[in-house]
Amino acid sequence: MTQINVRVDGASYSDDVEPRTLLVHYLREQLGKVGTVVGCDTSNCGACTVHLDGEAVKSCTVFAVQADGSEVTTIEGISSNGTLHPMQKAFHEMHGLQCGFCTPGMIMASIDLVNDNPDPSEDEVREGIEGNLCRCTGYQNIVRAVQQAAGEMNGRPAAADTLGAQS
Amino acid sequence: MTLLEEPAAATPEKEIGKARRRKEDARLITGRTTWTDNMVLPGMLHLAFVRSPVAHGKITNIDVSVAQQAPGVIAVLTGRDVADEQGSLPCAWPVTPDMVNPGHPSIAVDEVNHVGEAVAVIVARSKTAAQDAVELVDVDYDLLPVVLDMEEAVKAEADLCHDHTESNTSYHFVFDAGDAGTGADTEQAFADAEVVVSRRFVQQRLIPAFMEPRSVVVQPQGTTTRSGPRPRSRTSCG
Repeated sequence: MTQINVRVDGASYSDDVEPRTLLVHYLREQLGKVGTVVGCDTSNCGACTVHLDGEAVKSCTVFAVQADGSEVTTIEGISSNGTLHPMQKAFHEMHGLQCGFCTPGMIMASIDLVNDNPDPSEDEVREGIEGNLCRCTGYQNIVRAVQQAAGEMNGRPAAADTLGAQS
Repeated sequence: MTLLEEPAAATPEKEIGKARRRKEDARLITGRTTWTDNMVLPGMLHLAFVRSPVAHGKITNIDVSVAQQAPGVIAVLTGRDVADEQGSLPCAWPVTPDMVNPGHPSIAVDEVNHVGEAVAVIVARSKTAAQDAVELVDVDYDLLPVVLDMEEAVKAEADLCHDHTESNTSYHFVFDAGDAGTGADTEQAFADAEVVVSRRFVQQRLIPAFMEPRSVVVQPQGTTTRSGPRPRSRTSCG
């Protein structure tokens, strides 16, 4: 066992973990942060994406010990006082989800994408989230959601008549 | 039931052409939904599967003795252990009355027919104990011919995917409107056409496979098995 100290969604934790414990398993099973899900176990799908010191990582490819001393943010830590993060709001408004399983990772990867690129084109969004798989929506509305959120996150409110989920 | 009030007379709002906001999103976009893997019951046991690394082979021996002794392992079951009671996954929609169903046991008994087919299951007190024990099961296979190409597979001389069937053809699905009785003679239509265009189309196998597959948490009670307090089984999506 190895002791790690991490901050997750604003709270500090000090825990003993096996060196082989994956960050996603630490989050889910030791901290109860079950909002972050395991989709494939093989680092293909990106459903387990969280932020590690502000950067999107697939938490099934990171050992918990690698997060020692770091700040982790999950899907459960991005809204505050009942106010959704613009990315969460956009996924709802643009119908960017169906079953919702990929959504936590999709939203966390998209926030990182927009942090790096405040005004991504459709192609840039598609390339930016290529590590995240969705089996339901076909990505159209996910791309629209990311672009809408990018606007809101960077003070560019979208014209109402240009919006609307295509379903 | 008695209708006590007349329906409201107001003209209903037009629905067609209007985007609708979903009502179920709040928990899904904030990480607060209940997936099967979130559910924990007191004393819950976990399963892990030993899977075939070969596409086609006879199982000649399975040695589970080391796995059975591994820490946290409650039981190791092979297909042979449950052969008489496991049955076969039924086909919900036989496409034709004479469709050949080669059988789909939960755990392979004598033969594996695809890579990843389950050949044994570990029951253990934790996920990690179950997964560790998977690596301790020793399975011997006699390799059999592998059939990879659909057009080769349906030829008379093709190797069989399933040794107990007579061919690799499961059924004939008639698309010709004349033959199916749903339209006129297709051959005649081609014969009468001014221009005939021939193209070859290949379509992938279509499998709706949402990311959380069908899954369930079960709580055995007494001699019967009942679903847990909040069983979750996703059966359709996408």
